[in-house]
Amino acid sequence: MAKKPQPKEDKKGAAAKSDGVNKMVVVALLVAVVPFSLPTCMVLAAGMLPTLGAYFSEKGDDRYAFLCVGGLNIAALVPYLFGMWFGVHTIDEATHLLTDSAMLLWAYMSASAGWIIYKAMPPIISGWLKMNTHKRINGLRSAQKKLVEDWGPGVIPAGLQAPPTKK
Amino acid sequence: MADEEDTQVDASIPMPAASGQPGILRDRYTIQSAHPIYDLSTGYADAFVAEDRKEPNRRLFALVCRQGIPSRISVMRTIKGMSFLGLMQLVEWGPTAWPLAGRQCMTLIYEMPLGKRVMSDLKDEIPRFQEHEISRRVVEPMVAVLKEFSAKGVTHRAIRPTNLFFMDDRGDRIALGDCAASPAGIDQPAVFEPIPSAMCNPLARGTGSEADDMYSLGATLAVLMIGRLPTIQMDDETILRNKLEYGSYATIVGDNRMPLAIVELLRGLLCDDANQRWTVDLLDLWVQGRRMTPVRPKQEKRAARAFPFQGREYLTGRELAAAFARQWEAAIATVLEGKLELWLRRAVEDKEKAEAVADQVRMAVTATTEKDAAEHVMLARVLMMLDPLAPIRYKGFGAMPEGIGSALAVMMAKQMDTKLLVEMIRRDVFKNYYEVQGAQREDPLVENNFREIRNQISQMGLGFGLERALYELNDALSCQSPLVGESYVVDIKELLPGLNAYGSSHGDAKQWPCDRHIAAFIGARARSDVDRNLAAVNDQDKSKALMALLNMLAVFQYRLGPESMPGLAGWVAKLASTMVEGYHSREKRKEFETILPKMAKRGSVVEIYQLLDDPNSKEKDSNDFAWAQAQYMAAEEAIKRIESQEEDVMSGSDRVGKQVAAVTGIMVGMLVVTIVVILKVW
Repeated sequence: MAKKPQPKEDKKGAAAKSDGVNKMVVVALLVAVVPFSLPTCMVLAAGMLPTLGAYFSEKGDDRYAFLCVGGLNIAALVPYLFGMWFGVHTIDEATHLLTDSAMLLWAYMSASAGWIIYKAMPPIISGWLKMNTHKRINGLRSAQKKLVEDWGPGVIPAGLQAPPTKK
Repeated sequence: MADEEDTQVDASIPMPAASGQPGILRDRYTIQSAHPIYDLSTGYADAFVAEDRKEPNRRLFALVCRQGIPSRISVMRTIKGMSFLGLMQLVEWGPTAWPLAGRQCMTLIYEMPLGKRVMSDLKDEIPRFQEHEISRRVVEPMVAVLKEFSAKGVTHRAIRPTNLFFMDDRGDRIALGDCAASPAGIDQPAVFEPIPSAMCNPLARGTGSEADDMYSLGATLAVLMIGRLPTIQMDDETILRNKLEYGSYATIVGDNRMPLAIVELLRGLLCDDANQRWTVDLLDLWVQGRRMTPVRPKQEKRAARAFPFQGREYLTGRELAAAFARQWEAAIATVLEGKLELWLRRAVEDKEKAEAVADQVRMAVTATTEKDAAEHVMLARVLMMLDPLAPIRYKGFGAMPEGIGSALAVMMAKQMDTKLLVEMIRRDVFKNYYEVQGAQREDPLVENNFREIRNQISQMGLGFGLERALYELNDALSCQSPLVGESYVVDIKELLPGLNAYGSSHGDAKQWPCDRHIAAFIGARARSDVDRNLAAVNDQDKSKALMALLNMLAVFQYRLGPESMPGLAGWVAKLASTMVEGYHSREKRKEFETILPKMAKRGSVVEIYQLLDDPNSKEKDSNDFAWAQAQYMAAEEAIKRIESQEEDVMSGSDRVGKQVAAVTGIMVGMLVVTIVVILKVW
């Protein structure tokens, strides 16, 4: 007896269910780690707030801001975290760091820099691509002009126009 | 009517207006164009006073030949300098730049006769010559001349009373005048020509033989003895008919009384059978006093019953053939009815001839194409059978095969209709002529020649057609093209210098250094077979045609020289520049534009040809051009593709930008972690 084909929605639903399970496992592991590294978690929770904000500020599929902001954000926190891990890894030390404006300033400024990069990069890339396209077209037009110079207008196939000449 | 005048100028050929400039022949003889001598002019050459710069006291005159008339150059070569009492001496000959014609003309320098012509006009009456007088003053000198002519293998063909001159004041010395300025027999009235030659159109009599000269001498002597031309009241047709019916002696001498010795002489010379006619040696014996039995020519076999045709009756094939030739259309109908075959079979009892005629009629009747033409050819061949000694007769035009060339030349020079001659050649009327002549006049070379000419005349391109026939049939005819300018071009090696002279002043890119006359001249005069090259000159592709022409010119320059011909090379370079435009590569064109003027300056057609004749270069140019076209097209397509993709790329650029930013952030983060780890560990 032939098996009935599974509906597509069921498949999607299964995948979403699997993702949900994974996330739960990750969150559970993190929560399990919290009692052993509470100072680190405190510093990260306070220092990485811009990253969290970046994550939730974007909608849709193309959500990359938290990666860019997060990368720079964590880069600012890492020296302090390493100082704690190789020094005194206590709640007091974490509290002391959280009250140190320098650390928060570094963390939030680097996050800002991440935002700047994130906002500036698309127009830069777009401009670069446009410039590259025009450069390629100009190169091809120059090659066509050279062919006309070498062989005369007869080289242009019927129905096409001669390339525009620079004045 | 036999009333032609030697001094009469042919009205159809324009006589140039007098000009003061003289012509110079071989840097020695000055021809005074301002001093014409109308009394010494001939039908096809004009006479002018000439001077010898080395011997100013020598009395000379020049005959300047008309353009397009073939001169008898072989005769000039033979008789130049010949010194006989009975011959007006040809002192010099050659082409001369003639100011009245604006080009070079063949010129003959003769010693000036101090007296007049023996007869200025055939209508004139002159004092009769006595028996002893004619022998001493006319026959003896003529024998010496004709013996020399015979020994050298040439004929005079202009022996008549109006071409005899009193060379001294007293009228003792009588000499024959010019015979080389125009084609043989062209000025001869029919009465002074033997029957076959008299049947011909005067333009187409051919060079003839010693026997023809002997006959003309006989007729001339008869007139001198009588003191007038007895047949002056008769037209040529009547003279010919009388000669056929009664014989030449009876026709010319008639009832006039002659001394017995002269009768013997005239009967010998005017014998209608060329085989029985006196030769120059027999005449010499007569001069030396040996008397011979007067010749009685063999009579043609007469038919038992006469053949009635157009109101007259004919007893011999020869008379009947002459009547048929006169009334062409009526004759065709008569022969097709089979009456002639019956007459030959029953009345003449010549079954062989009757069969041959029947064959010809059968071929004409059964012809599937051009029936009308087949009937004309049939009659021409039937006439050959009826009278094998007669010339070829076709639609009223009589011609010796070797006279076709001169006839064609004169007719073209006079712009007469040549249709009939072309028809004769194309329809192969000459076939069977030598066959019916028997062993006497077999000449397969001429027959083959006509077969080739027939093929050439049927092609219409450059190098073929009527012009080709003109030069093939006239070895001595100069090239009639206006592109050789003033030059007199008879030999192929003279052609390029002629074109060079013309090209120096007139050569331009619109006109090729070749027209119908030049191409035909090359075809006829080139010693190698150039027909393939000439066919290529007619190629539809102009560049291929021009290359074929340049190839011929280059070969001629290489073989015959001269090495430098800037006029022609410049002309060719201008034409080559149009060919250079055939190259697509501008670089190549510039290269040619630089090199060609240098080659033109050096005067080398060979170099220009070699430059242009590079098939690899041409092929490479074509291939490269095709490649360039493909490149252009590919670039165009690439541009279109890029332009069409630009929007898609730009629309995705935002996402890419974000991705790049994300990667940058992560990379910075990882870099800092790495640095901090390294600092802490070490």
